[in-house]
Amino acid sequence: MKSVFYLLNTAPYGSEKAFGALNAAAVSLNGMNVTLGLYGDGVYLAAADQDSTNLRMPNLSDILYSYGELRVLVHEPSLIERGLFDKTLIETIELVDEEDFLKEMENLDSVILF
Amino acid sequence: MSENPNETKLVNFAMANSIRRKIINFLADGYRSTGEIGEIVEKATLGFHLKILKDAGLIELEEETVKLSEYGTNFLKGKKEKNAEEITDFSQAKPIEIARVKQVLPCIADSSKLRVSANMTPPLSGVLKLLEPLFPRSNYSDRKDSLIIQKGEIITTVYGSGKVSIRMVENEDEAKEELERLKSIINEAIAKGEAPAPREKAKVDLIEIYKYLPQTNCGKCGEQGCYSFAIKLMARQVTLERCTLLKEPEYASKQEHLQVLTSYI
Repeated sequence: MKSVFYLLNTAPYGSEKAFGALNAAAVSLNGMNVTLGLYGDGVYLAAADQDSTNLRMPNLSDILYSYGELRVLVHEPSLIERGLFDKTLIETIELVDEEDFLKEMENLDSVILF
Repeated sequence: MSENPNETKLVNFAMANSIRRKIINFLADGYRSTGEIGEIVEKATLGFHLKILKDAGLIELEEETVKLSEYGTNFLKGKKEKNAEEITDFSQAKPIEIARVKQVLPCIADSSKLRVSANMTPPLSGVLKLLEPLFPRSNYSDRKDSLIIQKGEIITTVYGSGKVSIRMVENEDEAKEELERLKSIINEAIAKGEAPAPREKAKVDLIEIYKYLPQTNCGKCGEQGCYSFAIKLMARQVTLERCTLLKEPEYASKQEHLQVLTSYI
């Protein structure tokens, strides 16, 4: 397996899923073509200036900044549906349409859903 | 328009999508009909993308005709000029300071190491690309406006916004040393004023490294075999000098090859 698409479909805080997806993506970076796809509630991870202090969870946006080489695709229709249209987003992300998002998933060797 | 933070967000949002960037560039030469634009992007989503670009103030829509707004024209022109400026020198750049070390947390891939977030001021946006040749193992991303620098196991990412992230450091002191090193290399280049010549890039393959090693698995380097040694060479955890066999005359040409190859790692 040379390429992997980690698909995050759940909100970044409140469960371990987003943290798990970021962990998996970070350890796969060495030697693999890795893409993290944010879909549905997963798109909240793209918001800049996250503060998780009160949640006692790691700040997940800092992880995205730490792993700047990680390719992060955000499903734009999900983002708009959730009213994040005019919010400041992390600069490392790329917004993509439904069709391009699916195309990216199809083009990689494996899709792992979180 | 760009003075208003909300409108800036709309522009950033509009330009974060590759299809909309394609439309904007397509309009650079003048008016286009929606039919013409429909030939280069998916027709089903064309209306949506045009609305986003219009809301951001980048285009004007008149019936079936689309053109760049005055702001859109200036935006595109500004981007081109900025790109042109990026390849000249550091005359506009000011010496940087590391403002603060924000966060120290365990690394994800290796929890015995730390990752550190910091900030540098002023941000290096615009000249970040010029800094790439200063670091032997570095990679600049134009889209993310980020420079990733690798030194041994330590990976540092500098963003155009001023954010700096360092991972795989042993402790906070090592991170601070690394930040100081970064600052001094960058400030030295800014003081000189001239941009270093772009570095030739070559991708070195683990198998290629292994091919030129003696492949005797003698173990004198302290590794299990030549393949393990090649892996450590690729990770910059050992130097070529550790292989004593390479110093013997029969391996002279292989050693020469390896010296060239390892300089690109």
